[in-house]
Amino acid sequence: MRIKPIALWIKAAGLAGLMLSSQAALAHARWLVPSHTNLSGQEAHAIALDLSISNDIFHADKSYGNSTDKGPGGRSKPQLIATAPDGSRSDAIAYVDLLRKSAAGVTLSQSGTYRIGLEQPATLFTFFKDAKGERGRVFGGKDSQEIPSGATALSTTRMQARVETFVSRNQTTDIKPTGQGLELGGGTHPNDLFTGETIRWQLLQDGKPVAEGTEVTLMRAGTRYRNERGDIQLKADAQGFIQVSLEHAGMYLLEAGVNRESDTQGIDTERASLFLTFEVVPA
Amino acid sequence: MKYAALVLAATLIGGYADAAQLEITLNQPALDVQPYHRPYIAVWVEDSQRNAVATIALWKQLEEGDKWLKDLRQYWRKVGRNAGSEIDAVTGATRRPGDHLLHWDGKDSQGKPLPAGEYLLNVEASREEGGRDYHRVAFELGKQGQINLPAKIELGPIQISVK
Repeated sequence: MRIKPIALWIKAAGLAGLMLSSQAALAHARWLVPSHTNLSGQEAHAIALDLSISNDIFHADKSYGNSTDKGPGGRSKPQLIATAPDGSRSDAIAYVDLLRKSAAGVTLSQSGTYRIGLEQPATLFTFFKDAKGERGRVFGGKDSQEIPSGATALSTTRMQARVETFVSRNQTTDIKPTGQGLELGGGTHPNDLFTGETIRWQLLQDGKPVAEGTEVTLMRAGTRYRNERGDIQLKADAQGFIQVSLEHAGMYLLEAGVNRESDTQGIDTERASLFLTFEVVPA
Repeated sequence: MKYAALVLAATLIGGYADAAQLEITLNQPALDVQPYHRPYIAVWVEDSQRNAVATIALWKQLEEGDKWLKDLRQYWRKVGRNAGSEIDAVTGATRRPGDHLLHWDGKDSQGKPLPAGEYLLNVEASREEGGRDYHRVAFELGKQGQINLPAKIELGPIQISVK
């Protein structure tokens, strides 16, 4: 198989959301947006979710397809899972292809905070330089049949992405970290965010605070209607906390990606990324 | 006899007035909109650290109206989502526009008198197919004073007397 340059390869494979570097990480945002982040009342309520791969926050661009479709190489689509306040996990929630986005609905019946996210097994990629010195990458480890003969500088990365949001019905309950990948740890409750108040969040990679200086980007919805995207760049402190006070209400996307050296034989780098949608309301 | 009745009435009124630490006249403006849904309105007291200590009034649609309680966003986060039965006594139906008189006896939601000091009075209104307004103003419990809040859109002028 002829190896295409990376950009074309990504396009060909339809994997715009997969990332190569921190620059690339910011190039293609993936997100899900809930219709509601807070619900009240005795009856159970449903929320609607839109899922898309798009830099135009939160305008749909590329669909996730149907949850029952098969992706490239026969791989399963990401599973949409709601984790209830009591820790129980839903079955995979069906989503449907609306060409530019996918959509789903979830009913929340427990009181407390739900984690709702797209889950996919960690994926291996191997990067290399071919005989002509051109960079490429393939799915799989260094034993992949698709690596051209004579390739050098082989490096294998295991990528794990979280694409998620939190929704509370009646009470808010503490976020319980999963210990896997990059995720929100302690701090301000993500369903209690008001303009002009300090938001302080700890980010965890595999259950441990991220390194000092880890970069985090916040982007407010409505980029299409602004000449400047106005992304907010933050850096984690020594305890892995970021801190910000937001002037404008709206839905926001938090993006971050971290690499660390792998302990696993045959894997060089563990890469974890996070795409967290949250809502800030006027005080 | 007539005189005695007057004295008795005056004593009752006086007793009530003594018990009230706050007297609030809240104007709910008549809005020239169609349809007009009566707003949800909450009035509550927080300590200086923004911990809710007492709800003075909560007006909402009584039948199946809790699904919109979240739209009183500040009330919802500070009281509503954590509230038990203690707010039942101050919960009532939404009101017609006009001047509404409210009293607060300086007691917390368990009925215990609160110590003198600085507190925050919160007034929030949210109307279906309309807007939301919110005031948060500091007052000194145990020290006489008068606070006048200017009209917004969903809330008219509010006069607060601290006794």
